[in-house]
Amino acid sequence: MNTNTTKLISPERVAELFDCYGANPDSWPDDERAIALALIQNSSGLQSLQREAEKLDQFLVNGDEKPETKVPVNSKLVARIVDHLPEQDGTRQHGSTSDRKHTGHSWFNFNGWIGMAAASIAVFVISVSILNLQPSSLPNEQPALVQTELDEWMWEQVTGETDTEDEEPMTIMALLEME
Amino acid sequence: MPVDMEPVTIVHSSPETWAAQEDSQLIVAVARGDKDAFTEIVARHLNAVINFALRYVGHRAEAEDVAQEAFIRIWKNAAKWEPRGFSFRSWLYRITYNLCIDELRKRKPITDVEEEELPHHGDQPEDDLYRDEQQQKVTIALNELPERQRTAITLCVYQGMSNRDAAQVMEVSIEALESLLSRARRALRNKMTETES
Repeated sequence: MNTNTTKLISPERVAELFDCYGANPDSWPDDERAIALALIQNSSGLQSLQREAEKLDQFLVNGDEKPETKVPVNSKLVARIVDHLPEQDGTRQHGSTSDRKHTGHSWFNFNGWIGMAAASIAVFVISVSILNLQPSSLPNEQPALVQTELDEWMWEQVTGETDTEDEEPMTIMALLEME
Repeated sequence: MPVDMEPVTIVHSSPETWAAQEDSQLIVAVARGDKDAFTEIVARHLNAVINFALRYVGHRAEAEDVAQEAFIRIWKNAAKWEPRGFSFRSWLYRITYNLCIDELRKRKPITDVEEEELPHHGDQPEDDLYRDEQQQKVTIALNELPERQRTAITLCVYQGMSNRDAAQVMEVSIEALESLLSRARRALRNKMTETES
């Protein structure tokens, strides 16, 4: 990370840098390094803190991979990864229609139209079935079962009368039969 | 690597020329489906990603599986990567880190680094034995740290990441990262003193 800005920092901040990043100036934030080094040069207290931090750095280095055990890249594993790649999500396309033909999102998607046609047929069949079933399911003894506000409204429109509570309620089917 | 750099579009590149390109340039090619560019990215980062994952999952084979899954996600989502303020390396490590955490959540308690990964002590010189012993001590001390503190140390010390990149991987502010690092180093210093005495 290369930045041209340099942050003004205090000796306390330099102590924090040791605490967080250790004694190695390369590990410190770029914008604080130069001032920190200048402060350390003029402070025996900070130099002592840096030596303390170095001990821990050395301890931690022991936990790193040993240079001789660093293995070359496992080409078989690279091949295993590269040879089994799935399709990419949202591959950057450059807008040609020929590209879009292969995306499966076309308006002329055949499967989509089949689905819509099947749904329309299903709705039609169900509607017809309901209409056919309605008269047989409306025994005269129980007209109230299907009375709705719509029934009342249609009764008003046809007869000009408002439905009263003591009269037998009429249904749409009854109205149609009357006509 | 400058993180705010706009990616440069390269029209024609062979596997040889990819080796000279920066990650940010390679990933643009990967987003267009270029397998050579992707192979270069994998070869470039595979060992480091496996070593990073190994610190969490403890077994090399599982670390390799995590690395494989991380690179596959890079391949799948390459088009979504935005270079502004976010280095490719941070993105790769964030994915790997999240996969490791998922893996650890699946199985508890956390497994230590596998025994068979540690060197055989048969005919080793004394210096090597001492170094192995030290390495084991550090590994144990690191494993005893809370997970977030361990990750902060791993990214900054062992993966050599800048504070900004490490903070991005962990999705925290730089101040929060520094707090984690500071607490981790304090705990490690105590461990070091214990082992010395």
